[in-house]
Amino acid sequence: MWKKVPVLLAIVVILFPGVAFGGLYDYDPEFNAWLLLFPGEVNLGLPQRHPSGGDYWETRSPLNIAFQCLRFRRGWQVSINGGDFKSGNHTIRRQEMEWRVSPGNYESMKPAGQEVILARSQDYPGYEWGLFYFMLNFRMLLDEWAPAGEYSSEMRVTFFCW
Amino acid sequence: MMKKNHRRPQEGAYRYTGAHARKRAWAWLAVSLVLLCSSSVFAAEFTLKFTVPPRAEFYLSTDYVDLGLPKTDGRGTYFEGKDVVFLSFRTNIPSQWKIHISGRDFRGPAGTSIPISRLLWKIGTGEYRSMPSEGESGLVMDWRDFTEEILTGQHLPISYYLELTGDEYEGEYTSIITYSLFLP
Repeated sequence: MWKKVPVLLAIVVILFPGVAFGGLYDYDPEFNAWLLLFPGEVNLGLPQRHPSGGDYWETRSPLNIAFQCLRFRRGWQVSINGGDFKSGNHTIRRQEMEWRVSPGNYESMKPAGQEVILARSQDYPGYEWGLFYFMLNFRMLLDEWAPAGEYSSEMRVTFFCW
Repeated sequence: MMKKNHRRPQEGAYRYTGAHARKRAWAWLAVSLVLLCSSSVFAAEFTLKFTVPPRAEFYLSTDYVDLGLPKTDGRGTYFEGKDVVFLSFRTNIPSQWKIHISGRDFRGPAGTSIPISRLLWKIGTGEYRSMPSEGESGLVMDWRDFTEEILTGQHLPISYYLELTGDEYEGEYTSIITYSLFLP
């Protein structure tokens, strides 16, 4: 009985990679495409004092996103979506947060519910089948006090092949 | 001999257009299904989080208030200091904080005193309330009064009122009034 456990685990990993890797990895055999995130939680921690007098947060280690679509027919697209930051009843709007794909410039995140295109196949002519690797950094400056608490938002990275 | 067409032109045209539209709809549906079946959406999730630390600012505009000389009206003699102290308060803690007020009895010359509970106080245009007796404290406000104004900072004007009853000895009386902020 116990000898079958590794086999069953392997089957789960093959059939349900998203479940097996805690939502950090997903694979599509039809398109031979995969998406990997690391780490699953980006914690900006406590703020630093900004010269403007406000609170300033910045990622210490970036979010890594890797993906590849080896058998797409017409194209692919990777986008990020998510909600506002919540702590109990209190909300900080998502657009207060800025993000950048290193080494680019920071820009404001879009309001909750609006997706941000991270990459599209048409932007990489001749390299659409390649392995893509992005490092995402986040930062935020709040000039006004916000209610104390730990704020979080679930962000979803969606890989669409067609 | 020519075969006679009994169909009305408009009817024929209508039938032709309807059939054509249905065919086109089926074709679009088929193409959509093919596209749907030949595309793939998959996703991974991450959590983005940060911490806003608890903070509070709490101070008085002055550490000394002189109620001056008594005033009289038709009902009696009293001291009143309107908006003589500003209590500035700001916090981002949404729960379990409270501000208390307490005071010592007024001490006069030669050991005479006036109970602090005879002093009335109020915030802004509110109603005057009695000070708690010496050794006790009264609630000024707590987290249930938490609003956006508390978050951005408030400057609360405080007034005092003391009515003389006629049994006080003459002299200069002083007391220490303490405002305490309790945080969780």
